[in-house]
Amino acid sequence: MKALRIASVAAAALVAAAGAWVLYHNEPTTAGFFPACLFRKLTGLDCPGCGMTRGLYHLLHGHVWTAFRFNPLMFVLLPLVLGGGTIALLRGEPPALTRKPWFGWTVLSLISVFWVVRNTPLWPF
Amino acid sequence: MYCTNCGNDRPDNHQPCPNCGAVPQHVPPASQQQFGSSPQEFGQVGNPQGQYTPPPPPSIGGPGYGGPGGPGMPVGTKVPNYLIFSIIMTICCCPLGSPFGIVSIIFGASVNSKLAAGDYAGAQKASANARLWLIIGLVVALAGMILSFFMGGFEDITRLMNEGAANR
Repeated sequence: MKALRIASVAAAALVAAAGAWVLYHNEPTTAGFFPACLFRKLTGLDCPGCGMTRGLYHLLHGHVWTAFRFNPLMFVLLPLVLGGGTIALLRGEPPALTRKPWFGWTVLSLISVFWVVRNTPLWPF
Repeated sequence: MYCTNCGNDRPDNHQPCPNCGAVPQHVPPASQQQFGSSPQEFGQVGNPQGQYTPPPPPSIGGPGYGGPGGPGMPVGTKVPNYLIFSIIMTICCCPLGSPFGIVSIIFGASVNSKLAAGDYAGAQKASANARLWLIIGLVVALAGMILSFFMGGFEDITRLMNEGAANR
């Protein structure tokens, strides 16, 4: 059981590393084969995940501020999902933080507020 | 007091155990304990002496389950909230998966709230709902992905191949 968990973490890390390698060598706006957001295509508005591919590309190249401007939310959610997912895979249960009553509601309001505000003139970037 | 699930020292309130996340048993008041010396059928888990009791086998909805907040509330069972999966789906499966991901986050968040309030049955219901919406969202997002591949994906691939041929 423990070995299976470690193997799944290793497999996930391998896939992530391969993805990072492809992303590092291909600028998303010109490469063409990265999936573009359907919501953005249909409505012209940004969704909460929009800008993450471009942001990650710049993050991999060390341009932290440019990445932050493409999608600031990923600086909160990525560590959470990557760290929480790794812990969940290794221990068989998610970290205690995700079981706190305030946690889910905070994440929900963060995503909702971000979704709305980034499509208004209030958005600074 | 000590957690009846993991045996570690924990604060004496109705919050989930900080060590293992198990929801504590409602400890019956001392006055009720004096009624009758015969062992109770339910509510064996209350442990006013603070002694360590070995963790009971997980019994989700099994025998000994006495309803929300009742004396037979199972101890040591964890209700999954699927929050990490819901976040991934909301952010990464845009736009088809996102609404389902949001619904799933709402149910997942209420799992935590209901556990903290001692509503075990409600938490289980919310957990089942979170999983249901997660599966629905996954199916819809996958179907959308396949559909959009057949509608627009071929266009992109042929364009890329033409560009590649032109570069050669």
